[in-house]
Amino acid sequence: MTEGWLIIGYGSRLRGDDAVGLHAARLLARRGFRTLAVPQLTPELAESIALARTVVFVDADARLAPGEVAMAPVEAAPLRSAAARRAPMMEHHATPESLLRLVRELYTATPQAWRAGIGGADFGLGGRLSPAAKTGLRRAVAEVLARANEASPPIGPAPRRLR
Amino acid sequence: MRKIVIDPVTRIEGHAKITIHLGEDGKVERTQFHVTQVRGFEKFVEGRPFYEMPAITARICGICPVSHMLASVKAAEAIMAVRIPPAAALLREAIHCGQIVQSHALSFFHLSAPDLLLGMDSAIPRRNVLGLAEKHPDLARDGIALRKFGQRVIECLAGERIHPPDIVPGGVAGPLTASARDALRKDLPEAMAIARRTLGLFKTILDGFASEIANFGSMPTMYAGLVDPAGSLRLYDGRIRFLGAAGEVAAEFDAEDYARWIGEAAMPDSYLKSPYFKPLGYPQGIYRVGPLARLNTAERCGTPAADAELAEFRARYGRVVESSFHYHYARLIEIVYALERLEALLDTPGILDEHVRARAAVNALEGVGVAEAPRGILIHHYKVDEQGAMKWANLIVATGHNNLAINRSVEQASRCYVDGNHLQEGMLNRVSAVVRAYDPCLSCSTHADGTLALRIQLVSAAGTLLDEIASD
Repeated sequence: MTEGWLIIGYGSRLRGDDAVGLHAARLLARRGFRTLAVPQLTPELAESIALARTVVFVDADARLAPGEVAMAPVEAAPLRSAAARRAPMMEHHATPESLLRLVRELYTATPQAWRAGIGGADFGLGGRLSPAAKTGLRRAVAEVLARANEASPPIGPAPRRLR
Repeated sequence: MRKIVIDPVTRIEGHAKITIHLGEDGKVERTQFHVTQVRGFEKFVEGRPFYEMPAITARICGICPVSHMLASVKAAEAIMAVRIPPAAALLREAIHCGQIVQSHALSFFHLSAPDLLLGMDSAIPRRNVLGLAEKHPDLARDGIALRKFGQRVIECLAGERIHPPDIVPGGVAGPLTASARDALRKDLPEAMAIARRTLGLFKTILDGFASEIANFGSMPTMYAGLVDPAGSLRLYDGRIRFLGAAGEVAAEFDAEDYARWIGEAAMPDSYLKSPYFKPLGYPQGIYRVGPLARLNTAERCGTPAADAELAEFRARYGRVVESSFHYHYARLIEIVYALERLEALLDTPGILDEHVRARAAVNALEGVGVAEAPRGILIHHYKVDEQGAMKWANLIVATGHNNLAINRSVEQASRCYVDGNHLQEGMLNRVSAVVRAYDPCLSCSTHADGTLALRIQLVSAAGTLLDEIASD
């Protein structure tokens, strides 16, 4: 079920609900997924993404209601789009779209990708999740598990072998 | 008087802007590099236990937290009056090598290679690593792989890639296993191959940058860096050496004596302090730190491949290399050095010793720690009370040492490239590229939303907007 899947949870451990993506990665690792828990998206993730059939970017999303979960497909940014121009590509952090573009350009890999946003309630200094974020975390984990179950055998093109 | 404002300067760590003041004839009269963020770490750490300082000050930066941790634990160990176990010193230096590799790789491949390989005048939408990936995919892959290797060294030896928890006052949190060492050792040859390949490529394009070499901070200044007793390059530990503009050793001292030799001036339009060499006063005591300064200051690197590269560098540009454009070249040589040192450290049998931490309480009320951050000398100075609570802190960061030199370099490049009567983005990119050559770390952890727009305005003496260029 989890073969070929990569979960990338990202956020700050010091800013309350911003860490919810990191917690999701930790919980999904226990369920057999290959996971990465990182402070932010950086270009070095491209190699790992290129080896996956399906990648899920899990992050807190302040635009969502606390506890709400939104999971949607994400595509590589068009090379010369306004979004790609604005993307902070390869400086300190990247976006899922710009990372997928980099994966396509450098490794000619096109894994299926999802973004799982989790609504938080408290992004202030602190190491604990709010009750709403915990609810969202459970929902997001269940959502990923459900999609992985639906997609068994693994979805997405076979991963490429890097040089 | 008219002025051009570049705000923010892009592809650097942190937030800064450049103001270019023009005369009525459109020629550059003066310039100013401003650091527009204030951090306040020195103040808000007051009252915290000194042993928390490594973890707190590591949060100053997401690129070079290891350097802050190293300077901090050394200051803490001066307060504890302990000598750390030899294995801990080996492990710390190995971690530091990993950081030098990943940070220098970020600077070269991700921040500056778009200028160097796509061209200073190339279109903004393509002048980034996506553009680099399109035109030079092998180089872009190399950059990713090399930086990933450096980060893996940090993660393996210190617990995490960013803000690692295992560098602690008294040593490190745990010993290294043979299997972890062997795994890192196995990947070293590929990392070295990338470093050598990139350096080889860079040397082939240098002749295309004769103008930039001549105008990107090409000026006599002093230089400062850490050296060992034989005068060889040191990144983890050593004495601070100041080299005069003509190549003579002007001073050499231990970190705890820094205040006798280094003064700190404040500039009215910047939150960044301006350190200067005290015997010469401000601002005549201008000096540079970081890769170029280190290679000027040291007699040699002390490792075979890096020394061969250094000899070629000096044969080409002289014993004391003045142009700040060559920070790029020096950075690539230092990657080779760091990989060679890492190999030597991993091959030292004592690195697997299990005794890696000394413990003590407060035995002194003051301590100074120093390390060579990727961008230059980093000094942490703490004063505590008898219970170990922080009473006072002073941090002199690498980019601060370079502040006067960055300002002077911006002015030199502006005078050469900027024509206030007709703005062109490429000429202003060169002014920004001067700053990028220093790879300034203005504390990336304060990035707000990551959207880095470039906006340049030409404003008349009466405040009228005459011209404007924006990236999007």
